[in-house]
Amino acid sequence: MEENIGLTPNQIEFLAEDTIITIVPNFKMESLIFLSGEYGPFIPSFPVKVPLWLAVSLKKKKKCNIVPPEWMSFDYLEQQYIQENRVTDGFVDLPDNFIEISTMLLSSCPEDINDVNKIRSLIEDILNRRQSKLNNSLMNHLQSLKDNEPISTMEFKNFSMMEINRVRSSFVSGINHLYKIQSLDNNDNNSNNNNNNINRTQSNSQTASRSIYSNTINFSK
Amino acid sequence: MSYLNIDDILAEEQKLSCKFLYNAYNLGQLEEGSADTDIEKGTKIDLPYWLAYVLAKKGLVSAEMPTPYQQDFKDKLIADPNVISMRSHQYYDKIGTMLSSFFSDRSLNLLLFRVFRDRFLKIYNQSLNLRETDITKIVGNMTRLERNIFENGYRSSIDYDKWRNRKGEKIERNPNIIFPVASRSSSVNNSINSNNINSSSTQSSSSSTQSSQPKKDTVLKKRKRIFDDES
Repeated sequence: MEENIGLTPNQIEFLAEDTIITIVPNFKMESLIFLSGEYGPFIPSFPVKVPLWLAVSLKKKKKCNIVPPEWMSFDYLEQQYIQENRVTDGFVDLPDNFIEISTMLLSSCPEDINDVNKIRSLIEDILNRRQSKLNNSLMNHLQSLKDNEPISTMEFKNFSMMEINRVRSSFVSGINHLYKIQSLDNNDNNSNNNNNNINRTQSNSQTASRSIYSNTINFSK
Repeated sequence: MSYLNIDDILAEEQKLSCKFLYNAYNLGQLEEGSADTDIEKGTKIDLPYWLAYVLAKKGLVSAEMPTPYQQDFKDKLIADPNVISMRSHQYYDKIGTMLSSFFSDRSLNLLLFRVFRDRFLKIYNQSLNLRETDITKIVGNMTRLERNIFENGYRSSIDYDKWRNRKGEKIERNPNIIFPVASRSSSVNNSINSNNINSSSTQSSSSSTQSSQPKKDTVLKKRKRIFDDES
C-alpha cells in the first residue's frame, strides 16, 4: 500500500512545459533545432514561438519577454469564474494545462502580465472553487449511496490532470475498499455456501476484477 | 489479499474463540498453561483467524464472533462512526470483511460499509485540508487502512502546495534515505564524547584538577625551552 499512485506535481509541470508560447527576444541568434522541431531564428523584438521551458529559462537569463496566452487576461478569467459559480454540477472547460502554465508564468514573469495581482487572486479563487465543488460532489455521491446499491461510475468532465492527481491516491484507495466490502456482500448472496477453498479463491479473483472497475471514476481531460 | 502483504498477515492474527468439536490429539500446545498433550472435545481456545478458518471449514471447531464485532461495540460504532478510536482495533475493517464472509454475516457487512463510508469522508477531507497541525493524534485513532488513505492524500496535497508556492526548485534531502555508515559512526563518537564531558563535569573537582595538570606541565616545559635558547 506504500506506492504512490500517479505523478508528482513537478512531473506534471514537466509535461506542461512542452506547450508552445510566444516570446519577444532581445538578442540575436540562429534558430535552435530540437527533436520536437525548429525554433527561431531569434531577432530582437520579433515575436517567436518556443516551448514553455525554453521561454522560462530565457526569461531567467533576461533574454526575452514572455507574451502571456490570450486566456491569461482579467476579462476572460472573470467570465470563467462567474461561469464556474453558476454551474453547480459540472466544471467549466479551462484551457489545457491551465494550472501549470499560469503558475509558472506568474512566478517567472509577473512583470509581463497586465493586472498580475488581480489575475493571481482570481486564479486562486477559481481553483479553490473547483476543488470544493469536486469534494462536495464526491461526498454527495457517497452519502447518497443506498446500502445495496453498487457504487456507480462517477463522471467529471473538464478536469485537469493536476486537480485529479491531488485527490486520486486517497480517493481511489478509499473507494476500492468500499467496493471490496460490497462485492463480498454480493458474492455471499450469489453462492450460498462457499464451503471449500476453491470457491474462496474464485471469489477473490472476482473482487480483484471488480475493484479495477471501481477505478473508473471518469475524469476526462 | 496477497500472500506476502504484511498488513494482511497481521490482520489475520485476530483471535477468535473456538470450541473443539472433537478430541484433538497432540495439539495440547495450543492451549496455554496446560500440561496435556491432547485437547479434549468441548474445550474453548482462542485461535488466530487463519487457523480457526482452516479448522472451521473442515468442521473440527466451531468459531465465535470476536468481541469487537459483537452487538455492543457495533452499536457504539454505528451511533457515531467518527468518534470511535480504532487505536486498539488496527485492522478492524480488513479483518471485518474476512469475518463477514466467513460467518456469512450480512449485517456486519452493511455495518462495515456504513462505518467506513462515514469515516472515509472525514478522513478524505482532513487529508486535503489539515495543514501545520499536529496530526499524530488524529492518525493514531485510525485503522491501518484509513491511515494509508490519509497519508496518501496528505502527501499529495502537501506536494501540490509546495509546487504552487514554487518550493520544488530547491533540492531537498530524501528523508527516507539511510545515512552512510561513516557519518553515523562519527555521530555515535560525538555522543560518547559529550557523555564523557557531562559525566566528568558531574564528578568531583579532583578530576578537573587532574585534567588541568598536564596542560600546566607542557606550558612549563615550553617556557623552559625558550629560557634555555636565550641563554
